[in-house]
Amino acid sequence: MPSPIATIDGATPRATATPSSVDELRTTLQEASHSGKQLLLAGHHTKMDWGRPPESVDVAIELGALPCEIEHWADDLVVRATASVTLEELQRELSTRGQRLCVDTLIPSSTLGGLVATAPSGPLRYGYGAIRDLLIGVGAVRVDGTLTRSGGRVVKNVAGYDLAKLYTGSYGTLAAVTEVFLRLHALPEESQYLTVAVPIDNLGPVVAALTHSTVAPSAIELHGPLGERTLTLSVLIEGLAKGVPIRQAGLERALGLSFATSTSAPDWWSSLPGSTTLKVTHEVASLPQLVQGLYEIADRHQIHTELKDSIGIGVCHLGIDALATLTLESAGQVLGEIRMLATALGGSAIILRAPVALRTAMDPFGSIPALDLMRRVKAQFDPQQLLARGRFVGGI
Amino acid sequence: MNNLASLLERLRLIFHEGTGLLTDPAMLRTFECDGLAHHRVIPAVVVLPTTAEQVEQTISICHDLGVPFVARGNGTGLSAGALPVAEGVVISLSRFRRIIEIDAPNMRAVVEPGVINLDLTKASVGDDLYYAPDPSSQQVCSIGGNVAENSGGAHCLKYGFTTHHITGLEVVTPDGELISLGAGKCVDAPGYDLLGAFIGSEGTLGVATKITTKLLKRPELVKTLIAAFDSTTSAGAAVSAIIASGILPAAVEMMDALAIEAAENAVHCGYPEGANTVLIVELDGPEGEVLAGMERVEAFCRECGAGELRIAADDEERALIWKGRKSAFAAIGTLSPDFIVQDGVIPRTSLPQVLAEIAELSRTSGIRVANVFHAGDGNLHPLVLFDERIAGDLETANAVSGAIIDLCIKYGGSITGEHGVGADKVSYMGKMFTEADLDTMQMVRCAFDVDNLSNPGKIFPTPRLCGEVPGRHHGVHPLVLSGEAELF
Repeated sequence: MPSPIATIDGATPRATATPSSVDELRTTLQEASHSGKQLLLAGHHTKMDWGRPPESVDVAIELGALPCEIEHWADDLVVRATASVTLEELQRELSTRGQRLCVDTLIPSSTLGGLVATAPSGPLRYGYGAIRDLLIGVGAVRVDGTLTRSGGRVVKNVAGYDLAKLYTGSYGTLAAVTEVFLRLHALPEESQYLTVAVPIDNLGPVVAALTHSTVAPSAIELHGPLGERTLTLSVLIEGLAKGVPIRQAGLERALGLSFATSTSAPDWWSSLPGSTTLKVTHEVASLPQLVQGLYEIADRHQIHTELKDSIGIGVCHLGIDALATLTLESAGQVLGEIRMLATALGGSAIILRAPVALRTAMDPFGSIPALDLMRRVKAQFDPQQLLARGRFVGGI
Repeated sequence: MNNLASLLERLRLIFHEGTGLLTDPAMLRTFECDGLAHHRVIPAVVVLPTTAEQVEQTISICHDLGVPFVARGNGTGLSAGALPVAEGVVISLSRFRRIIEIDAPNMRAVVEPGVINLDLTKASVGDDLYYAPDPSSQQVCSIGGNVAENSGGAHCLKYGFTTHHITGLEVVTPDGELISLGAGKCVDAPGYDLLGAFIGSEGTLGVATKITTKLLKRPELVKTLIAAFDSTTSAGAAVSAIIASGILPAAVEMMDALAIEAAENAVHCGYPEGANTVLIVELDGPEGEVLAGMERVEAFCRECGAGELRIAADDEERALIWKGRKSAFAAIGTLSPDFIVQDGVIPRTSLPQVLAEIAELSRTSGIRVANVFHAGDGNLHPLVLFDERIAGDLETANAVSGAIIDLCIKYGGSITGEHGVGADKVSYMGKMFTEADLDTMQMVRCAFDVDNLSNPGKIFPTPRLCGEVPGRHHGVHPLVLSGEAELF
């Protein structure tokens, strides 16, 4: 695990706790909450520049030192892993039995706990669902030290509330996730990445043909700098060796395009663009309008923008490092224009990661429907607002 | 004026008596139970809203007066999840059923909660799309009910449950506020995933008034195989071989001899004669993938000792195979005057041991058990047969049914895979979860429904008083003491 956090968004934690067991974590949380300490849960520190800066931190609780355990029920296609295990470690272990967790490694060295807390969205989501869809059970410690579970080790299970979904993407503001149960898939017999350049003026028919094709790709990604009017389309087809070439031919027919093929992913595939990254969601079919709108914004403000859209999901990541170098007023204007565009296309725009100045000056999450209800949920789980106060939506 | 009188007075301002508002005891009686008919309670009032505004007004009135309410779809649930409260209101959503929009380019539909599951697929056929979750009751069950129960179906092995297919909800919260959860036709609304928490909450967090669903492209090819085996063990071995090979079938269903007999009696589905067990395996997807996959599935079945084996030649033959499976519950009526449909889950690989233990339970109790399973994901539907006219038979059947659920817990599974906890299984929740687990779940309940008015008495054995210090109950629960709740 990495060395303890020195500073968080410029603030220095007064103390660090490094529990080495779930029992120790429970005691740590119990004592800290008893004395009303402001807490921040951390894994491998790979997403410390995500979310709003926390208001203050008395104790940083390093969860990376918790024991790493993997229990793989290969014949059931299910694994239990402790939250301190990294995604890479998990995939290595699973691959020895010909299986994988269908989640992309967007940020190297992320712990499973960190993945659940932030729920990044990657290419494989198109074929297999997001982390929320693959997480079938969760163990967590509440801020008062109570150990609690929901779900379980079977995929099909409707007993009780699905708290795993509530914890997923909650930025560590509800509880400390300590173990996860995940649905797995077999490694495909064959994988092919099909790549072609697409002019942005031709995106409409391409998106329609791709999302309505019967070829069943595992992922469809569009990538490139917005300055040019051509982007790179890359489609992942996975499955039985006999079927993959037939599906490739089917897709070429449907799109009227000829692909370059490769068994390895393009270098941009498993990453988030830029070091200042926006996440824009949109209705699937509105991608051409989104790209055109973003192109105009980038052109108007003369900012380099790298786009990566998961076609068919409606999640677009934008790398706009220039945002951090503009004046705050200009950056705010750019963000405002992107938000207006996203809203018009049914979605939203958040700052996923950025330097602290940017996340301090403007709300990374924007306006949130049902915020009152979210505050009530937070008040139930963490009545004193000790876990990462201020880091999440609406200052939760 | 007492509470009921003021409730009725205010509801009459919204609904027409006799059509939108029912108070006639004979009419109320038709709402006394859902598909699990041995739990019965006659409600004080039934309303049949056709707009979100009417739902909002009804719940606001209930909230003002402290009257409990129970939302009900088409009453097909099998866990008494829509069991009324005697002094409460049933909000029947069966007439609130317009398909508002089929948005083919965005692969979404927007529907009202009373829309029948299969009707959405029928409405999407013209665009070559469909709605994936397909519970056996899909010809009658409502999508609102599916949202409440997080319904699955035979094809959820590959395509997931209701929760994987809903992207947005409009909901009336238990305090009468109309809000949006989720991201409409998009995904990943910033903030807590309240949409994920709401789906499957069995009507305890509010009432959905508008539902945005995903629609999927119809697969290029569907192939359905039926194979006969001489035991559930050899059929189970075939399932393991298929899954281990990396093939993800759309569905894998298994029926034992008694279930086959019932299905044949009822719908003449033409299953292989004399089979001890049948396995149904359906593959769907791109043609090349399905054809190559089906060759392997066939080989695995043969290696594991399949006797007669055939692949449906056309849609008609496939429909007949599925008719036998989907009618299995009702068909049991041809074998036994009464039966209990159980719903439990085990890790799929424990199937041989669990089936052996169920057979032993059946042998020692003298109660027959027919087995129907979603074999790909370990979801068991044992049908426990009894005759209520025989003294003690019901009690023995209940004991066997309960013991099967205990087995599911013992093997690390779940007390329900798709029917829900409802009122029926509240007493098992404490066996599957700790008090702290249930207490934590009820924190969500408290955030939505401080007064415990939305479908009370379901899911949780003991209601939590919102605002109390978590995890500390001493003596008799205050709600029990005040007569507002009952300990199960």
